Amino acid sequence: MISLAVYFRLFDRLFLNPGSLFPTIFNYKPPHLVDPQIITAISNSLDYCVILILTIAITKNYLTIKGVTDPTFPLIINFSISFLLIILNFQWQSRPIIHFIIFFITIILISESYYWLDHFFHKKIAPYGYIHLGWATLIILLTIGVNMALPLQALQGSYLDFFSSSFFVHFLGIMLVAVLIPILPWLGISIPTEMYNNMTDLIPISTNLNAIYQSVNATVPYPENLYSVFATFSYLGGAGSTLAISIWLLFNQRKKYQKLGWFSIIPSIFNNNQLLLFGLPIMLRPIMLLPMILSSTIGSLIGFTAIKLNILKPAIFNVPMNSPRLLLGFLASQNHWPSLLAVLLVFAVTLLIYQPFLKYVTKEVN
Amino acid sequence: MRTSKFILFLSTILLIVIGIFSSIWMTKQHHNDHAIQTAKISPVIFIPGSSATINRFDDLFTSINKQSKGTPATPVLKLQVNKDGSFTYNGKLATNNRQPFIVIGFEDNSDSYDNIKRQAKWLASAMNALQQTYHFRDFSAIGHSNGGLDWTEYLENYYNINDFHIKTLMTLGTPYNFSESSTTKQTAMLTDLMDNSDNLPTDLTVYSVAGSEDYSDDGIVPVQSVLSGKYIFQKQVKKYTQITVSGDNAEHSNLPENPEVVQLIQEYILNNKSNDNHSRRR
Repeated sequence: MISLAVYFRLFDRLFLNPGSLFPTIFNYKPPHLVDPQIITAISNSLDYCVILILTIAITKNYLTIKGVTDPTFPLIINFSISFLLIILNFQWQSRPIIHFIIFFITIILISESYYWLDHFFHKKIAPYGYIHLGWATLIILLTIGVNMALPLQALQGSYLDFFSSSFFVHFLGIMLVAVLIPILPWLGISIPTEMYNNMTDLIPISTNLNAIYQSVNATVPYPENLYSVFATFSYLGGAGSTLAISIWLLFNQRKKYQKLGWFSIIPSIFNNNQLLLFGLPIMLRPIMLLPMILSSTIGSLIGFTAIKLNILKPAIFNVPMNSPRLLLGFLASQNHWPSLLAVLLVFAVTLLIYQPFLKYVTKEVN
Repeated sequence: MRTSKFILFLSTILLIVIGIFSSIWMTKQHHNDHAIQTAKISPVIFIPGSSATINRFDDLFTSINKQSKGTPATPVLKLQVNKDGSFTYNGKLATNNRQPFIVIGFEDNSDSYDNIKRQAKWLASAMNALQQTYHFRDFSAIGHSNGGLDWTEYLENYYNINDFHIKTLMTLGTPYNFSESSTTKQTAMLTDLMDNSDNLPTDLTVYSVAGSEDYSDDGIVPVQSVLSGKYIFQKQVKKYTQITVSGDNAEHSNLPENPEVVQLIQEYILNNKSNDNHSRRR
């Protein structure tokens, strides 16, 4: 299901959308097969299906581990609540920002409350009795109440002004982003869109662009910034530079990890690591957090230092939408070959960082 | 393992192909963007009304050139968008004139809301084509009658501040509420324009000129219909000014040649110093 959602969205973003990568670089008009809003709605629906399937899986596993013999009723309730939250927050026209951690916490709390209900009234009441229905009613009303007080859309803000501040063109600001951003997807929190879409709307980056257009020999006012450092060197395959994981998985001895490598490599090249987040999994797995932070931080460190010492030209220009981050440094500095070599060097470093952790994770016994 | 090696090989080839074509695109785009950013021209773009052709403003241009004695006549480029979307050009721009005139007309110049929507889309493609050739970003706009509706529709649905910067819009006898003279009845078009008015550029200056023979209409368009523009532009754009001209040459078709209108164009568009400030990409 996750593969279907990821590949459908990738197909839209690479081929169907008029501003997408292949129509832009190959200069063709994408076929207007279906209304773009319908494609967005289908894509969003697939993402929501992933949530529903995760709801079922987490509820069943959690309650089975807890010793609940028949988790059917809480499973239905959790599914209904997830479905209700999706309907209340459904978006047709743009990609929804889904914080999986909110769904996970909600599902776990509800499952835990059912466990205590079952534990307290164990064998004393019939299943699906009034007490169960009362519990279900209370849970549903509570969830709707919380959602009305804090709708999920309230968490979808724009951080354009925040990331445009001058703090993020200095070493500390950039390194802070490099350290903290990988933690977000690990926790199941969606990354701000400004971090994975083209960053050229940020003021320091557009200022650089204006300066260079006014004069080819102009001094760029903010050479080290989130676009030239973080986006170029710390986002190879997604937050935490997880493209290295896909490469290693391709050559793993165990078939199931090899298959994960096959399916995840193409999305990873185009900066989507959702298959790895759920498939490995990376999300909420403590051992994977350290290499993600290390890869991101070391990448930014190398990039910042190289630009500061004038070894590399900073990334300044807009690149086609959804371009692979491996190529961003090269393209956005107007085909500066040392930038490409530097990114490949950073990629090699991330391969070395992830290797021991993946060796441990893929040998783990469930 | 063989499958994995094959997938890795294919992925590498894909990256190389994307890299090569993206690199070519980057070089081309950079030259184009550089030319646009450093362009010195800031044309005034005219759109005639329904049933009018691209020659509609010839008398206006003659009047303007007469007033600017001693200076060369302003070059005029006329572009007609044909029904199949192709363009027919007439005239050309001189590179040494900073504020040339461009007229954009439409082969299909019938009067209906549906056609106005079509014309706005054609206008968008014409603007892009003009930018590709002449590399300008700043411009001012004048629309006579339905031409003003074309501009409004374009600004609400197609205009992109990253690609263009419009400084001033002047509409002459534009029927924002079509032929409705009532102040309470709103046509579907006016309702739609009001609904989408938050897409209008917030730094735009708008002058809406109404002609009036007898303070009720200009012979074709009710004054109230022109005045309905306030419901679209007020509080959405930087400045909105409503001007009514009357007397001789205030009749609808003669508005572009009306001496007061010529004076307004001279004052607010051609001689306006604030129009000289080049915009920067956001």
